[in-house]
Amino acid sequence: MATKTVHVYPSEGAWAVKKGGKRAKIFVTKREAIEGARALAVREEKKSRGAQVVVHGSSGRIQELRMYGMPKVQDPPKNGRLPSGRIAKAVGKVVLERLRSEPLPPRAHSRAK
Amino acid sequence: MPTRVRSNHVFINCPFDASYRPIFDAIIFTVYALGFVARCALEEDDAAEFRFSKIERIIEGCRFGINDLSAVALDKTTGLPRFNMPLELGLFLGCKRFGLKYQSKKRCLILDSDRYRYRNFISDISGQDIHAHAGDPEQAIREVRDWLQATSKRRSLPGGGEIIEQYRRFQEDLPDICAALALEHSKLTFLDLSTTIAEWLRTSR
Repeated sequence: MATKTVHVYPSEGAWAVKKGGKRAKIFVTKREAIEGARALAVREEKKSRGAQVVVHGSSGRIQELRMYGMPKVQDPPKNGRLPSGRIAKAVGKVVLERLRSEPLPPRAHSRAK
Repeated sequence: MPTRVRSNHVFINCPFDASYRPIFDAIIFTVYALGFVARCALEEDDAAEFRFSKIERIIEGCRFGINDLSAVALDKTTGLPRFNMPLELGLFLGCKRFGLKYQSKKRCLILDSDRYRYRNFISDISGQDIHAHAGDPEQAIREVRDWLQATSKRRSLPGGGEIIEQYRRFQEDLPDICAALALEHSKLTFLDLSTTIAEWLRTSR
């Protein structure tokens, strides 16, 4: 089953857009990458599948999150033993490492129309 | 002063011992995957407040309740059954019945290992929503998902199969996340696990 998340993350001086189970696409600028990711998410939403776009910073933490036809994930009550920022950093690091461990295509998609 | 009832808060009434942990984690994951907030007695560390008062306050603030009676069995050491889960279920049902008007919208799911086992020890609850998970975390995910979707009448919620697939991927990532936090999985508190699940769902579902 395909994942619902379209990731946008920095990679080798460019920006990669990747959805689970598919090959990444490379864009020169962050703005182009986000536009490409949103277009992909809208297509998924029209198929009634729902999707979300996550823009990662260089540490993997979420910089921007947008959902398309999916329920919002609620915040748990506060007062955890660990600071929520530390957990977000750890989760982001693991997710980004997994994304970066998968091979990227040649940078042929830059400025793709 | 009465606690406000949150329409997306779900009280989890279940055992907290290690043998039950796989089902507990699966239920918490499902609740967050559906866009709700899981609440339970483990979330409070204020030693000054009596445990029962904490449970009362949490139940009062939750519209939904998931009660697992599968651990109601004779303890090998004491020879006595554990009554905490039926007690908290009774408190939830009492709050719904005798609480202020807006408490009447409360809804609860009763889980057990077998669908009809309750007849032998708590037959008065017949007529309630009783489902069986057979000790299987993935079956617990399906039961919780289907019940919460039907009861809340929310649309666009992921299906049981999709949540199970997400949960498997979360379990694959969890050891690495715990390593990045320099913690063992068993040392994650309820709230830290909840935050980890919520953050993972935001980045990877």
